[in-house]
Amino acid sequence: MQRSRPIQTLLALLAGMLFPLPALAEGELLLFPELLFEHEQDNSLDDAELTPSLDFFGTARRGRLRLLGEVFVSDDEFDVERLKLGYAFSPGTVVWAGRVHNPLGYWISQYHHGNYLQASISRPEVARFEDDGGLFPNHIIGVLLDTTYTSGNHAFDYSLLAGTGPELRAGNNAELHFAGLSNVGDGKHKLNITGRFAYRPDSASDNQFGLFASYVKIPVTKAIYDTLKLTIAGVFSSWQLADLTFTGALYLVKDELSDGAVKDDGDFASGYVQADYLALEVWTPYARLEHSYGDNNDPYIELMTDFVPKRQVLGMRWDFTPRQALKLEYSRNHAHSKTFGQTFLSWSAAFP
Amino acid sequence: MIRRGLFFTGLLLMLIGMSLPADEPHEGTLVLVSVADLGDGQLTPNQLRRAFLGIPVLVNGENIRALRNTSDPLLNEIFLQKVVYMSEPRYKRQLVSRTFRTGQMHPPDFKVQDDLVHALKSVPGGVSVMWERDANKDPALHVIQVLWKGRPR
Repeated sequence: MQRSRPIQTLLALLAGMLFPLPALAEGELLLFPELLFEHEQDNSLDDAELTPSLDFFGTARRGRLRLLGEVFVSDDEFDVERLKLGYAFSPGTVVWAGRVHNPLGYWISQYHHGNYLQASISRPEVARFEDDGGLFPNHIIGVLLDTTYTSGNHAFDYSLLAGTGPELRAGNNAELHFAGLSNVGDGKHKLNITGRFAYRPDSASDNQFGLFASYVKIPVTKAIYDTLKLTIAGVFSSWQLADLTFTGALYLVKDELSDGAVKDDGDFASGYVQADYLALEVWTPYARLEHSYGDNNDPYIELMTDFVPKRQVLGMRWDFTPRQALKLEYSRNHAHSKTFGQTFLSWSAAFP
Repeated sequence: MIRRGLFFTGLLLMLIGMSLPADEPHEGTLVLVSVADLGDGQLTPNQLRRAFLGIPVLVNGENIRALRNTSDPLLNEIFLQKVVYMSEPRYKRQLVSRTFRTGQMHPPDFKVQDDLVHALKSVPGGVSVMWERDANKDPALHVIQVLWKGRPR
C-alpha cells in the first residue's frame, strides 16, 4: 500500500487538469481490467490461482505541463506504478519528474502494466517486474528525459533517466524493493542511470531497433554482501511485416556483489524472441523463446532463485470484441532446480 | 417497321438499364481541411499518418492537431484505407497503446460534422478530413490538399 498525501495532491491536480475542459479533451482515462487463471503442471487444480486486477491510467495536459499516472490494483497489491509530472520543451521533448518506468529494453516501455496491449499473457523473464521477482530495477523515482527527433520519415527516440534504484532484500525470497513515493527516505537507495536509444525508419510506425545501457548500485540487506553493482547493456527490436510481428531483446549483464572484504562477480546474457501473427483481424497465435547464457554459478542469479533462464511459450489470443481479448497460453519453464509447465488463461480489456 | 424498331430500341434501353447498378455512387473528393493558413504547406503521407495517430507534427511553424471525422461511414472507411492505412480495430488499438506509452492525446472523434467544424474553428492548428462539397460550404475552411478522388466501391 502506497497511498500518501503527495499522491493525493497529484491525483487532485490530475482531476483539476481534466475537468475544466475547453472545446477539446486535454486528458484521458483508461482502464485495463484483467482476470488471470494460472495453473502449474503437476499441481492440483485446487492450487490454481485466479487473480483479478485493474490497471488505472490517466493523463492530462495544460499548456506545456503534462501529468501521467498509472495505478495497479489486485487482490494483494495496490501500487502507484507511474506518477510523473512533465514539462514539454517542444512537442517531441518532455522532461518528467516523479515515479517512472525504467526505459530498460523494449517490453516495459511498450506495455507498462497494460497486459491487454501485449499479445501474450506472460512477460519475458528479463522484462519481469522487480516486485514480482524480476532481476532488474523497473520503478524509479527520478528525472526522465524523453525526446524524439524526426528527420524526413525517420525518427530517433532518446530516453535518459537518473533516479533512485531499489534495495535488494536477500533471504529465502530475494527481491528488489523499489523506493516508495511516500517514503523515499526509507530503506537504502542509490543512484540508477539508464539511457535508451531507438531508431524508427518510418516515424509513423512502431517498427524499431535500439540500444540501452544502465548502471545501478544496489544496497543489499539480509545477506553476506552489502552492495550489488549491476551494469546492463543490450539491444532490442520490434518489426511488423504485414500481419507478422517479431519482437526481441538481448540483455548483457555484469554483476558484482561485495561487502568490502569479499567480492564475487559474474556476467550472463539473457534474451527472448517472440513472433505473433494477426489472422482475420481477431486471432493472434504467438510463440516466444527465452534463453540465458552464463547464468550457472553467477552470484546474483544464485540469490535470485525465482529466475527462469529458459522458457518456451505458445499461445493464442482472440479479440472477441474491439476492446476485449481472451488469451490461452502454455509455457515450458526450465529453472535451475526444476522444469515445469504452466497454463494461463486470461480475459483482458481496455475501457473506454 | 417503325413499331418494330421502337420495340427493339425500348428493349435495348431496358437491358442497358437493368445492367447498371441501382445505386451507382457519385464520384467524391476527400480533402484535408483547416481554418489555419498553412501557406503552401501540404502534409506528406507520413505526416498525415502521424498527425492522425496523435504524434506531434510541425508544418510551417504550426503544430498540427488532427481531429477525426466519423460523421460518415463511407468517409471514415476511405480515411482508414488512404490516410492511416489500417483497419478500425487496429487503428483504435494503436491510439490506446500510444496514449498509454507517451501520455499524448489521441485525435478527438467527431460524429457530427457541425461539431467538427466548430472545433476546427477553435483549435489552433486543427486539421480534419471532409468531403470537398461540404468543405466548400464554409468559407472559413481552407482545403489544404486532396487526399482521395474517385467513385467509392
